[in-house]
Amino acid sequence: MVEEASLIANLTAENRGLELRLAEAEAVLSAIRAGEVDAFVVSDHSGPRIHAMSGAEFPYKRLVESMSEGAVTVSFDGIVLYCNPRLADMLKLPIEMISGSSLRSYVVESDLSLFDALLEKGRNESSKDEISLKTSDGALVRVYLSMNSLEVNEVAGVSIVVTDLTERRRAADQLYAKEEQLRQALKMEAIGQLAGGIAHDFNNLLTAIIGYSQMLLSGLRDDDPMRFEISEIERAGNRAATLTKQLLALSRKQVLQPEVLDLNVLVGGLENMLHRLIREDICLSTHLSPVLGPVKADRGQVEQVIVNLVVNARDAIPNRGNLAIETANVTLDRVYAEEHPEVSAGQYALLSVSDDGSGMDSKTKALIFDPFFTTKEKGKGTGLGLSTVFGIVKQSGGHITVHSELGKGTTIKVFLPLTDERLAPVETRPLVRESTQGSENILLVEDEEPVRRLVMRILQTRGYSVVEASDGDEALRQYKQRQGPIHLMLTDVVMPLRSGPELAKQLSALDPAMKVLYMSGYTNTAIVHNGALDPGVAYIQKPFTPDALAKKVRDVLDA
Amino acid sequence: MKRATGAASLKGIGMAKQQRSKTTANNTLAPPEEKEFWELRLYVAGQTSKSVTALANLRKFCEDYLPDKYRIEVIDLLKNPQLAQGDQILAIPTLVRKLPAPIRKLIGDLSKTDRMLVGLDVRPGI
Repeated sequence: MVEEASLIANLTAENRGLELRLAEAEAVLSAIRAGEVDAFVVSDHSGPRIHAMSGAEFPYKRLVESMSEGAVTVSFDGIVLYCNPRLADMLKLPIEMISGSSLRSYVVESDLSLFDALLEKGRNESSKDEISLKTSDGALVRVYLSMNSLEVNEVAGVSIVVTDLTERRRAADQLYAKEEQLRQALKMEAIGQLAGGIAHDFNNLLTAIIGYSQMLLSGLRDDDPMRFEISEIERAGNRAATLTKQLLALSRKQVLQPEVLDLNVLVGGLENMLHRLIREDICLSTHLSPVLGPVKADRGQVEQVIVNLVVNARDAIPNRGNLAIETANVTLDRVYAEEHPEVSAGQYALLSVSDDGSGMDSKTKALIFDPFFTTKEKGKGTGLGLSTVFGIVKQSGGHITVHSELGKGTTIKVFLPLTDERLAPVETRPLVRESTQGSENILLVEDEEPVRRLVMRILQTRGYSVVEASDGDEALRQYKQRQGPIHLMLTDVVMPLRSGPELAKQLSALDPAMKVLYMSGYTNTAIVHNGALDPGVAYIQKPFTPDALAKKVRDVLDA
Repeated sequence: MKRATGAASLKGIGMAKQQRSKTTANNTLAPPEEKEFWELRLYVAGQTSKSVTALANLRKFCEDYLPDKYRIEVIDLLKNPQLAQGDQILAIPTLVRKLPAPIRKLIGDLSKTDRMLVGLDVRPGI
């Protein structure tokens, strides 16, 4: 009896178990019929495996999973139904933590009402806008959401494409920076064109103004009442010449005459003059590297750089203060060059000018090399000093940096490439004044009449015999009718019909011994390439003083 | 089992609420029905559409009917199919109610709230 009862109990239990399994099997079947399952556990000798029903949507799923945009579907109340790996990347969360959560919980608070409005609109049609999402580590990602109402089978919700704007923003910022560089380059080019264009005519006029003033002055007694007025004309002419020169320098249109230089010698030579430039309450100190390497640059231009930097530093010191000039050898490495695309890696001589004056804010700092930008009162500064420095340094293949802190001071560093060439031995010139007199025959070719007449007078008063011509054809005629040899041709470079170099070529073929000296107020000429004078070419830049011209003529004849 | 590879506990909202709920459960002054706790295990296969729909539906259901009284454990059988054997899973998605006893199973995407209420034996209003 007992055994029977136990058997019945066992059978009943087994029956219940079977009923449960049957119920479960029916539940599975009914779920399959209702389309509520899409994967099965299949068992074989190697154990259970998962068989997912891929179906017709499989390729689309792969597509969505490999998209570089985030893709997410949400129910009408914003619960995430599906999210692709890219969105999980953006939020820095595993997919299973995002699925089933509220998409709203990743939206920054300030964008919540915008998000709600987008979702509301996306339920019925479509909506799009930018919002910020919070990542799991608290960072913010700016994204563009594009929402569309979604109704497939029984699923009703909203599909959202999430575009990460970080990269796009970065690219836009880079593009903006490049455009800014281009704008700056175009501005400099325009100023250069303008400066180059006016320089020619301007320098001819200034040659006449300065030259005649000086000639008049040299003919006046010391107590002549006209002396003051004529000196004023000369001074104004010189100021105008400086401005023209600065415009050419900042637009990198100067004619450079590079030579091997020791910056320490240059600074040493200028020191007395710099002490006079700064005020008594400013202490100027120099820290020059004893092993500084040589650079190849235009002496006058580099001196101009030093003077401009010192004047600028002086003006930044409101009361008492310190100003230091320093030199050193430095290496700008590959990493630095990569960060500053305009710089080539290599060895440089550093010249830095520091002050402990008022310093600058970053806005001012960004503008200091802009032509005509000045912080000085109207009439006190031209806004050309530092842009001239920038132009000279760039034209010399150098690099310039500015460090400044408001209230603490400024350091401007100029890097000029070191050269392998050796310094020329210091010439020990006799102190005896060299004569600028001469009796040689000079052929003067100049199309600007005031300049031609001035030059003729300068040369004639110094004893030269001058034949003048206003263009190349006339010069050739004059050469053929000459009395005796022509020792030197002094010619303008840019002239109508035939340029100075063309004329020189023709005449040199006839007379190889004849020397040639070019004079020009123009910079973009046939004798200048890449901003530097062709080697072996004698040249004098207009405007010049009578003495400077006479000296140059004498030098060329004696060379 | 809970720490096994392929099992991912949902820490988010559910976990935080579970911890709070535990505090309540340990509080002797709490009403007796507050001790009832739903430990639910959802078997999924990666991100198949029914798997993600089931998880979203389950989350919403728990928030609506079992606030502070549930814990969801998600087991991804694509990562570790062996885990199907323990609860004898045949089709995916399947939800297993581990607690309160007895064990119950619900197969499908859990989209029908009334079936969920019956299947999990949840009485609204508790």
